[in-house]
Amino acid sequence: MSKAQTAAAQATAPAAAERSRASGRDAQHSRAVRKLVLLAVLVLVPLSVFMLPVTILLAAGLLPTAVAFITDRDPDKLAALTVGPLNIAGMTPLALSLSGMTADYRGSMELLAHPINWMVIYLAAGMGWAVYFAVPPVVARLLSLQSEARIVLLKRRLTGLVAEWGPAVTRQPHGLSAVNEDDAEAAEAKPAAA
Amino acid sequence: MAEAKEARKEAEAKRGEDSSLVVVGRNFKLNPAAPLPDFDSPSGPAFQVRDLQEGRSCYAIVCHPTAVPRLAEAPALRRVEDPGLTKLLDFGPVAMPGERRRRMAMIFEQPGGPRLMREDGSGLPKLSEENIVRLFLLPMVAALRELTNRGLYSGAIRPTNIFWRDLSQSAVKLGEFLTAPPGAQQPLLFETLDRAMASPEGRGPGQPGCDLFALGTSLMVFWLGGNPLKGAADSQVLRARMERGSFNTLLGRNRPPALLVEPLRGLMNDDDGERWRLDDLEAWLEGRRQSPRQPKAVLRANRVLDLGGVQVTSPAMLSMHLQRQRGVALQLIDKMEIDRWLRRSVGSDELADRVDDAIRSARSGRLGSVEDRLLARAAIALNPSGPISYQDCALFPAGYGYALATRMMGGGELAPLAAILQLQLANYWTSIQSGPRAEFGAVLRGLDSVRGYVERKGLGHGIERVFYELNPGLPCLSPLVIDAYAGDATALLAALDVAAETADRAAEPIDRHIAAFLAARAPRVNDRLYAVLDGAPRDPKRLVAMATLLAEAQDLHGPRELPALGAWLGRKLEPAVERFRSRSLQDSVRKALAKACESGQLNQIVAAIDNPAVLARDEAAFEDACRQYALTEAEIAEQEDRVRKPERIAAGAGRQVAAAVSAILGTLLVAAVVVLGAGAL
Repeated sequence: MSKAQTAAAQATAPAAAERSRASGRDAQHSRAVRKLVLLAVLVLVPLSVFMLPVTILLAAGLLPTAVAFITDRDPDKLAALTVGPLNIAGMTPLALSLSGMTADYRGSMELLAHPINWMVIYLAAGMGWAVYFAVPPVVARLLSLQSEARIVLLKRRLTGLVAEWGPAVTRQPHGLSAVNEDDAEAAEAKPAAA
Repeated sequence: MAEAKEARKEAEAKRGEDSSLVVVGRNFKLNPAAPLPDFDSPSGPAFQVRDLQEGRSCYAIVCHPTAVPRLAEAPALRRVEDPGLTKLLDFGPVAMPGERRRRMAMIFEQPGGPRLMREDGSGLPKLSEENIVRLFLLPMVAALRELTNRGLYSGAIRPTNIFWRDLSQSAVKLGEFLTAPPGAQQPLLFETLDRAMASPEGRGPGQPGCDLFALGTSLMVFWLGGNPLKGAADSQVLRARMERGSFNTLLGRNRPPALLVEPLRGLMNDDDGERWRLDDLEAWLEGRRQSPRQPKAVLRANRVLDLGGVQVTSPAMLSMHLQRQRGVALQLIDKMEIDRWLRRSVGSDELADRVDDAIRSARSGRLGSVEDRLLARAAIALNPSGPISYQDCALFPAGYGYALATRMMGGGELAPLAAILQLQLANYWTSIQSGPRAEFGAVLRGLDSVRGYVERKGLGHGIERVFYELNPGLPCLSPLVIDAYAGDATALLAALDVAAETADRAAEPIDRHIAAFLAARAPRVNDRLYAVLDGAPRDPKRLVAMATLLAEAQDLHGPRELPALGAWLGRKLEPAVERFRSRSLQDSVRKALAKACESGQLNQIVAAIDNPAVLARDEAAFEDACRQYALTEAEIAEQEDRVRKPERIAAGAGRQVAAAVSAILGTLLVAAVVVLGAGAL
């Protein structure tokens, strides 16, 4: 491999790594959706046999959570985990109402016919989305402040080390490997580029 | 009252005088204001000395700063008691008023009478042969017997160094011979032919026969009433002696003395093997007459060899002139002229073969220049009993140490002496001597033992080490301590302590001379330390080695406390303190070092800065600190990354928190609905 080719390969290595990460995430997402469908089929089908009203209610009421699951690219599916609990909380009154009604699908259909019930369900799911979007920036800001305070402390420690041991303490000690994530990824990309 | 006043005045005068006296040893006080020019020596002026213990009449010779006294033999000579020898009473370095540099003073018992002959040749009394025998020869033979029995060699028998024992001139005694190397002050008339060819300082101790030759020559001068060859050039005298023999040259046209002819011929015989021994002389004195011996014929050529204007008539003469006429000599050697001359004119194939072998072996060598090697070996081969000559040196193996000392003390060129050692010319000289000579073994062993030092250039070695090994007693010549005349390790350390108070900031307490001196005079000090002394100026290991060397020398030889030297070392040891990585440890080491320096105990200084366990712990702690630093840096980078990209936090921890908040809210809402629903029921 010539020098120019090697330089070109090294320049495109980060973009290639990003593309490879993206394609990895897509594959994961597809797998997650397939799992959801499978789960839905495996849970809802038997449930519909024995508890048809609840199944109908769940199938209709948990749609916001399913949408959150499908649209979320994060492999941890945190959107669904955030929307889901409030979505379920919004469906609780309906579930409780269902317990006092006839034990067939007509009870659930009756509940689902009222727009107020849909409003409650979707309001609750909406709250879930609000939490999903509002909480992370606040957390990020708080953690940033914490990091800044930690940085001050750590820098003070560095100054103390240099004051005690001199500038030579800044050299790499024997046996300590690279701890920086970027360094580790760059180290992975180099063999691929070569 | 008046008497008391007078006594007080006398006591004050004495105290005033006493304060100006220079103390030598325990029992003598030298008076610098009372010179004794009648006893002056070429080594130095003589001064009156007061013997505090026994009240004897004494004088001291205060040697010049560059003199090479025979200090190694002095203790043995202190024990010699013979009326025919000038007794050595004491010796030691002294500081004369107005002088910074101390000089060696040697105290002798003062002869009762004047010199036999003054330097200008006057003073010799005209005595009959019988009186010469009684007053001169008998006491001199007794003195020589005393020296021979003790294995001592004078090398200073000459009329100007012989004194009358008393003013009535009842007998003579030999003057001192310790203030200069053996033979160094002898005019060449009083040396055998071979010794006369050597440089005065390179003659070294000779055989008893050499002292006897000097005695015979002195006897001849005494009988003649003076030196008939006074004023003649040394080269002329030597040439005449080589051609006609020493006896005939000095006798000249005079008729030989009837009584003394036998001992004169016997003692002045130029052939070492034929010369009278002391037994022969004693036998003659006892009346056992021996038939006069004719001097053996010298090997001479029937055709003169022209060596650049010098008319050479014998191989010995050629040997003497080879170095002086080196250009012409080398040409003649190359053209085989010398070989032809030896075979045809001198008539000795054996000698010619020996010279050829010498030339061949010189050409195959590698050290030094081939011309120098060639001339040196050829000269030895031509005259085996003569001195080794190399460039401007001419010496005998036994005189090597003295020759080196003279040049070292006088600031002369040392390279030729180093080359003589490296080329093993003494070994070659010995191999060519005819017949076994037990005394060569000891001399050769001594030279072989020091040759290795010349070949190593580091501190503690070199030609300086050779000088100190071969000249025990001579002082350290380091500029730091040269004024102190420090002859042993104890005196050296004390002198360094004094020098520390005025030493230049950049100077160090160990230089080439001090290292070589300690290596020779304090041999129990770990000699591996010297190898480290050649490092870079601020190398901590080198500085620690320097301190350790001085500390070990102090432990072995004292003095007990050396505070100024300790402070000097302390100033130099900062790089050794900086070896410790931890600043707080450095501070505590500095404090310990300062305390150790004050104590004057150099081993405490070494302990403060060179504790291996502390160094190891410090190094391990430093490695740990490096790891901590690296980890802290990495954590800072991570934290800064977080601060720079809050969206990553939001995407990561933020959403997890959101999920948790949602779960909590959802649970609370479900619980509230259930409770309220149950209540409504």
